[in-house]
Amino acid sequence: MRMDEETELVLNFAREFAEKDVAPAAALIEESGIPGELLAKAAERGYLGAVAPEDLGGASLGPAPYMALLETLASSSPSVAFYIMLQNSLVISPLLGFRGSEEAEAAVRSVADGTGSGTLLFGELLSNARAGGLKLAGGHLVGSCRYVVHPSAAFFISESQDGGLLLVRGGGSRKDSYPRLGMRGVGFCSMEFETPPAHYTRIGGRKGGWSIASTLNSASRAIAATALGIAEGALSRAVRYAAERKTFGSELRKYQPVAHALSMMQAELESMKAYLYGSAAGDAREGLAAKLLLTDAAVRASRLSMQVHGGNGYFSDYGVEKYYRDAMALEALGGNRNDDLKLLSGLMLGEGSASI
Amino acid sequence: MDFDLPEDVVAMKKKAAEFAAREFTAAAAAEHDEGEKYPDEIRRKAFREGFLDMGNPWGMLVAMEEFCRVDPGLGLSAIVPAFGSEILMLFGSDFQKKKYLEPVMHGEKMSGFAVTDSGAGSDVAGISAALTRNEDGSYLLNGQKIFITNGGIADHFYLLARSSPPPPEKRHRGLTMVVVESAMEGFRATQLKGKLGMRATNTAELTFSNVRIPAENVIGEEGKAFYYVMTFFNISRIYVAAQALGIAQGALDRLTSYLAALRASGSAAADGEAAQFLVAEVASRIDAARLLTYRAASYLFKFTPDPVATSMAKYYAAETATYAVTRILEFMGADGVTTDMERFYRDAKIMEIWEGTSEVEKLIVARMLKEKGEGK
Repeated sequence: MRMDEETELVLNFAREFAEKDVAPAAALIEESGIPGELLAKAAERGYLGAVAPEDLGGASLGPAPYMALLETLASSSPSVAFYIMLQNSLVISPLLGFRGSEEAEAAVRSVADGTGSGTLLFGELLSNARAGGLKLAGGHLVGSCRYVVHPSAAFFISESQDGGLLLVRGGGSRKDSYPRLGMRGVGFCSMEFETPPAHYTRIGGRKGGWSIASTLNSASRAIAATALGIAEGALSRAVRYAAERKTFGSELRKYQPVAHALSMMQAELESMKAYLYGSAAGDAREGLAAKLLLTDAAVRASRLSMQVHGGNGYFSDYGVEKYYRDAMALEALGGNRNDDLKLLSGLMLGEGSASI
Repeated sequence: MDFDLPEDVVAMKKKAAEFAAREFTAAAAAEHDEGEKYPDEIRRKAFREGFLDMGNPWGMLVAMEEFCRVDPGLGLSAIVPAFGSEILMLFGSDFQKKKYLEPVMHGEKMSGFAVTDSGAGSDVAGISAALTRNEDGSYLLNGQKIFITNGGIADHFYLLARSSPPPPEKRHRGLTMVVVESAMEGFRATQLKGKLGMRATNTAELTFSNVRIPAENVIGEEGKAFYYVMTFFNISRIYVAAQALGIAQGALDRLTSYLAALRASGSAAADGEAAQFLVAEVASRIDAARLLTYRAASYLFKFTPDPVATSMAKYYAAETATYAVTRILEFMGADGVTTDMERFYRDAKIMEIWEGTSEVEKLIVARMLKEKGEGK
């Protein structure tokens, strides 16, 4: 697929970073998280502030180059791509909605230069049974939050009931840890907050317009690009393996079921990629559709890659099983699929669709 | 035709379910999964309660299913210590049965089955481990084996090696099976870590450097072992189908409890038709897989195994397991990946790979149906 000049440039740099810096650390990332050194390099390259404007220390990437960055990194390490997506789409983007606020701009600068990372408390939205969430009680911000990704962040973003953004810089403690299916490079647990007024700031508000849900929806394309990278990473390894591995006297790629499955998957991914980039500045409907299509494709591509690799793929040293885990983890952490399907049905078929 | 299990099998199923609920605690399952640690204590308890009883194959089959339903890794580990024993029961000498089979049946020793090597995988006849004959009638074993279940913990293995170069176009000839003890000089086992799932089971790479195998350890006839291995697979594949059934059923159990909890919390997702169809589709496939598995088992346990029925059951049950865990986890989303459903997702995938990949099972079905059609 042909990309514009800026996107090609970003792609080449991202490939170099993926090969030289990310790939050698892949096993370490799975075992003990993304090393600080790697994040420092990502900050230097402008990846942590990819979507932030230059005056706030960002790289000011447009939608297509930003997606190309995530896609490229995800094909090497889904965790690294997910982390960069989190910092940009779920932390910097909502803060940029409050330009002029000193606190918001300082937070963006700290994320972009790597001195302070953030996270968005969007876990409640992922559940089919909403329960927790933060509430104001006597000036204190209290409550429990499930499914917190990157809990070691320097600050947390939540929403106030009047549409303001809450920047929380303390009073949170980790509660339950969860089993780790995927995205093992990024922390994941539930948290309890009891934050006194001195440790949180309310930005904006009383006019509405901002919400965690709207932020997550705007991240659809970034999540779709990450899923595309996972699918491509899994598939390219399977294609390479099918060309090398011989069984019953022939390379795997010579067998029809293997070749048909791999080539159809490649065709599927190429068409979805064209859809994703073709609608880079498009409407919410296309973004949501791309996310649903590509997160599903990533799960299927990683399963296919596992099957082509046979017993070898079942072991982590082949670097394939992580896609199988990460694809499903991305589907779970990239939004509530049941809600997203309902939303898409509403957009495509009219309000009230998919309600029974 | 009778679709009800006999009373004694129902009783065994119940006993196995109770044992699994008691012993395979959430903490034990998580601990052995995380640490990639074989649960020896659970193996001993399962043996004491009589779950390893080759004389009661239906009992073992339903126990396998019930065990994997609660936790696949611990479940398989509890029943796998005698892996490969059917080979000696069918083709072993009295000497081999006494020396190797009896202690396993008494729960004193563990066995393993070593066929796969790194170059061959499903292509059994493509193995490279080799036996060369000494003047005194004994053999020297050299080569390696990979992905061997119980590899680091078994006392002995029923091992396939090439004992003579095959004639052209007859690659399955010249293969011999021997008993090799882990204590023999030149034998080395290295546990393979970093498995996606089934991490409570022990998997190892075995290497053999001039291991001396006495002549009395040759199982059956020299050069005929391809047939023994295929016979064994017709047995073991039915037990893999039972594991897969257990995994799929366990996933459906978890979905049902999840939907009940959602309903109690007032969530609309619980009773939407998307949820209802999911339940119906997964449940239908599980029942279809169970019927195929029990049919294949009934032929086998009457000593008239039908390889077509067996391969259909293994292929379809394995696919049902991955289908069930994937669809259910997609529906549960974050509520699922934060529970033991994520382990079921990791454990299920191997069902489509070990004991013959789904691709190999399909080839067996197609080739045998073709032969039948051509009246061979």
